Amino acid sequence: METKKKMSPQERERILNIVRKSAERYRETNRILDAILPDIIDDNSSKNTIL
Amino acid sequence: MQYYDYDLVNDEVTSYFFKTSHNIFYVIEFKPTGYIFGDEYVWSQNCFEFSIKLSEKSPQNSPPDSLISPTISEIFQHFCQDKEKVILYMCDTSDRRHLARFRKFDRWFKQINIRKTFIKIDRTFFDEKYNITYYNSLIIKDNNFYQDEIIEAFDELISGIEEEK
Repeated sequence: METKKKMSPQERERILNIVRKSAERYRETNRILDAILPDIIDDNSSKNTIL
Repeated sequence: MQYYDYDLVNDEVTSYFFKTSHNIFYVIEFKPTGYIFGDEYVWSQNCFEFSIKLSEKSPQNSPPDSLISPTISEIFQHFCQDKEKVILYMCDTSDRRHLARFRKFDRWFKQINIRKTFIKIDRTFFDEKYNITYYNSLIIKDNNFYQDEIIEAFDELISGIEEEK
């Protein structure tokens, strides 16, 4: 049976840095979605639970 | 469904452009991001980060416009006509409203996925250094040949980040 590769600390840090930078890049996308999708966030928002 | 006409520039980054009736210019970009998974996967070249931007000269605040959301949905569908595409999405965490955003994106995705042709995998992980939970989504077509391998790689990526705690 194949065993799962363990991520090295360097690889983990590399991925984390990509994710952190990516989160910054998503700031504008999220802000625009906040603005153009108000109908969705107001619609039954209290009934839904994610995760 | 009505939506704005759009133009497409297919370069290293695939960019779609449309102008609203209020003269606001939007740019929808799909930027290659396969490097996050590495070259070992043949499908990594089909991974893209999905982003929405306003052009520099556009007003930063748009009046309510019911055609913007369906236009973005149409563009998303157009880009993903190729069943091998893998789309990554993340919620901005800078103002701590990411959970609300994640819910909103989830509901928007359900609207564009009315025919159930996409699969969205949601995963979170906690960044101890900045005390932030990141909300990540991976979207693939339900007939993607590498579907199982992609989901497994995404899970391994997230669990690999988590396991060093």
